[in-house]
Amino acid sequence: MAEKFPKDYFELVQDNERLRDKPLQSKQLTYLQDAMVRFRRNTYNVVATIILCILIILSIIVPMITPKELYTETNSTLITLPPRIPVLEKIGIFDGTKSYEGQPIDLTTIDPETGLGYPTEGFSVEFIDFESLTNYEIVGSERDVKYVGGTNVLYVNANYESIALYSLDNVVVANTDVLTLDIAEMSSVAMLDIYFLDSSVATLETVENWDQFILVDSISSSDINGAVEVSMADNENLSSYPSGVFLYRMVLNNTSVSGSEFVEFNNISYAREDGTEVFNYSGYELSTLSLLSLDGDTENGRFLRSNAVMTVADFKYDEYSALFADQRETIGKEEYLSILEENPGMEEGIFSCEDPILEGEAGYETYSTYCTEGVLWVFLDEEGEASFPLTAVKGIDNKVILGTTYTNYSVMKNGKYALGFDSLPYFLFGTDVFGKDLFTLIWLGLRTSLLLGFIASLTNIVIGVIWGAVSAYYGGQVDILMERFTDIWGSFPQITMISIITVIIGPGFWALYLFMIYAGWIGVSRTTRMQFYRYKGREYVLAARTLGAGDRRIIFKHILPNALGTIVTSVVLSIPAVIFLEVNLSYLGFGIGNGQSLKIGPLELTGTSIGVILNDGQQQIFAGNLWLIIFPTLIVSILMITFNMFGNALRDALNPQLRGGA
Amino acid sequence: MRNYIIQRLIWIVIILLTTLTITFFLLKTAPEYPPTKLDQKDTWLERQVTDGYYTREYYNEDDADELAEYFEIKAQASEDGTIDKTVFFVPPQNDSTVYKIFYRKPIVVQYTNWVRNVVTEWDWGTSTKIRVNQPAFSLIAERMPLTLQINIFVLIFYIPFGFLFGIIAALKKDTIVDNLMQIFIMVFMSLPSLVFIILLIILLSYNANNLLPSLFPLQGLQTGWAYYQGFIIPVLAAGLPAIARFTRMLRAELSEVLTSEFVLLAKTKGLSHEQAVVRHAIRNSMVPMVPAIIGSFAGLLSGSFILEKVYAVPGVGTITLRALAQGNYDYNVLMASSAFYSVIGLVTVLIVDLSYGIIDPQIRMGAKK
Repeated sequence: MAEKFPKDYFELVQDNERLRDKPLQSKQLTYLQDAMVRFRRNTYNVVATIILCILIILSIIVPMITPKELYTETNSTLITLPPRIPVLEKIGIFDGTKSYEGQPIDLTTIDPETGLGYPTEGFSVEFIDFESLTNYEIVGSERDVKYVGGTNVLYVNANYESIALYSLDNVVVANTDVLTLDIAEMSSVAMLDIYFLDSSVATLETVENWDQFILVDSISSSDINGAVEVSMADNENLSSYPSGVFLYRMVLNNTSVSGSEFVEFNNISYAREDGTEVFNYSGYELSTLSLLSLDGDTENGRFLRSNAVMTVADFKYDEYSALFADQRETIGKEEYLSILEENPGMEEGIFSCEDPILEGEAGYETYSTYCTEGVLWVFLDEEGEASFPLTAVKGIDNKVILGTTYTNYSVMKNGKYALGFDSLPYFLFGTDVFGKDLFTLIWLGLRTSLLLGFIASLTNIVIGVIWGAVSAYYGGQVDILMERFTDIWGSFPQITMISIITVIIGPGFWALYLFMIYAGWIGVSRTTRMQFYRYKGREYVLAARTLGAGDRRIIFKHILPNALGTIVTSVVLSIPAVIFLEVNLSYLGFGIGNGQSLKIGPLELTGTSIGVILNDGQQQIFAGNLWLIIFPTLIVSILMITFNMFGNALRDALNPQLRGGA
Repeated sequence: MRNYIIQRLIWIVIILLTTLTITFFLLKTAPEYPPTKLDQKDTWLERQVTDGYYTREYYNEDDADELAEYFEIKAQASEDGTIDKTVFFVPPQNDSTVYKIFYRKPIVVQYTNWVRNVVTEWDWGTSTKIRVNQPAFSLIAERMPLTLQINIFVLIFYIPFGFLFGIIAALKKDTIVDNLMQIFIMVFMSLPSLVFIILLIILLSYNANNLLPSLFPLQGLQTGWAYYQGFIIPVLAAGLPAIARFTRMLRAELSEVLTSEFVLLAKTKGLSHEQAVVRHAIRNSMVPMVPAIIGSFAGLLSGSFILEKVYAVPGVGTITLRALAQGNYDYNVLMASSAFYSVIGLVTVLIVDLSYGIIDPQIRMGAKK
């Protein structure tokens, strides 16, 4: 049985109170604080973001603090210097040395103790690292004095019958003389006829046929057993002490078919009875002998060097010290005097080395430091340092030409002064082919790349969000039409767009900007459209609407926070792609290039970008200057990796569905 | 299904026509770059007349009045700045005795003639710079096999490895193996392709005693192994990032499928984890993977001109870039290569869409809601 409650049984308890929301007991987070909590959750992504920030800061600061001439002016003396980094140079990496391979050595420099030689052409002895010096031999066939030994092979060409070889040495023949031919091997079908051309009969220029020559001897392959000695005594035509030249004529018994018949010479020498040599040809000298062909129809051949050996060296070379060392140069008196005039204090600072100063006397220290062998006088400033364009004078040369005396000074030019450095500089990433500091260039290029990327992404967001929002908001026919337009626009192949833009406006900043945005906004518009459709019909939107929220409130408080994450992330993740594009296009030559610049307000963008640096560096791979590729690559890769990780972190942070508190 | 395919094909034709039309009009607004040698220029302009892009007038050398008129028009044209832009003057060539003036027709007329030539005779015009007065399309066509060949090799190379690594990563998810793979994936995906090829050339050719050629071998000079050695670097350069992308996608897809109920059922039946993955999960994760593979072909192809340029591969990309050399534009070759890349891109999209319907019976193509 139901109990009946009278109306006055109940009592209104809060009749005089207004009901209000009570503050939450737990800690409240704003949207951004909540995002930060989620952002911090993945340590790797946070580290990546910090690295990314450092990269961006460096790209702003480094070009500002580096002296402008180091990265804007071409400096031909500083070309392709290797990296040199403080601290690291102490342990032997990035110490400003460059490894050279296969440099032909100067044979006179071979050290009898170690047996090692080094090159002198283009290298200074004092800067070669002898610990890293190794020698080895390479076999070649070049007709070059650097190659030693080997044989020289005489061939008759295909379809010809004979060929002759001669040297221009004029020999007075005595019948006690001996011509020695050291032949390594010869084809059995070939004969080697030795002729003598008496200069009283004809010279090599005037001789017409082989009858004018004196046949001294004929050698066939069966005669070869060690060196063949041809005695002049056997031939009566040579008994009258004639003077002339020797010829060695290779004759085949048939026309050559393949051109492979040969005579391989080790050595040709001619000696008097008492052992004095008139000539002795081997190796390189032998290869300089010329070919003679009297009848162009039957005589033709080639004389090739083989198995010659060149000794080459691998070593490390201290490029920096070599560059900044004092260079010896000869200058005229006028130039010398004008240098003295232009540099006040220089003439007063002359310190003579002519009178030796003994130990213990005043000025001994200066004398022993600067007055090395051959130095006449040195130029020192008030502090006793060599800071003038010239450091020393090593000789004076007076020449009298047509009654006028010309004076030349042999001076040592101050290497550091000429390059404008007080001490050896540190080019952290080395210098490029224009002698510019690569370290600064990379940050400068990164700044350009990043800025273009940001501007392009911003444009993409604006166009994309408007397009996508309009498309989704109106829906229906408008949506279909706008969608079809993006379909067509998006299906332009990239290369076609590049063609059109390049042809119409030409490469440059604007072209690059257009490449970056012509299709970039389509992605943003699709994302925006999708998000709009997705959240338009959600229950919480309906609930908000039921509670009386206006359109603006629904869009900004309810749809946008949910959609924003996806949109922003897609844009951030598209920045690396935009930079990729910039690198590729600049590399292909459709983007920016050296020497271009663009002013946006107070900011001046230079035509140096990572793509341009890579393009310049790629041509240096084969010259061994690998750092020109490796450093920009490294920086770009780090940038891409950190950007991707930052994008992922941002996606997590801006997704309210991932609760941050827990 | 049939109606859907027909609809899509019509749509492809419409897109293709629109793209090419826009390209045609935009390129025609830029100045002409006829061949530079006079006799070749003469031949080219005559060809333009027969193709319907130009009109021509003859002025006889022997007739003083006509000659005076010719020079008058020429002087007028150089004053207006139209000379060598819309009006071309050619003095007598070889044994000819006529001075010629060529006038460019309005772009719309040129366009209708161009469409007629392409549709009725498959005539894409002649090259003006690359191989003067040769058919432009044949220039592209003769390089197509090599470009397609390299990209097919890349597909053959990356798919098995992608599968292998993707499955391993999904099975070993959140272990050290998976983490290492994630790092590699990140690195490969973050290196610009240009840099990647250069690094490969340094590593495999320059620093390895020329183990592999540092440039693509010349066709015809080398055969057999020596020739195919040239494929290794480009295939690796395009293939390794593709493997990374594929692995990442398959790992994500497989991880999702692995949490589904049918895998749980399979395990409840008594299958081991590996068996469940190989027999049930992989098949289901194929639904988005197959279209992705097909779709990657278009992506590889459009990325291949960087590859071709860096490694000097004589493919379609290289020829297109040469046609784009500054101030030496070869419009007809550009049009032909645009058509090539467009067709490949659009057909790939079509096949991708169709493949969804074939692989996943739940998706019915073109079905009404």
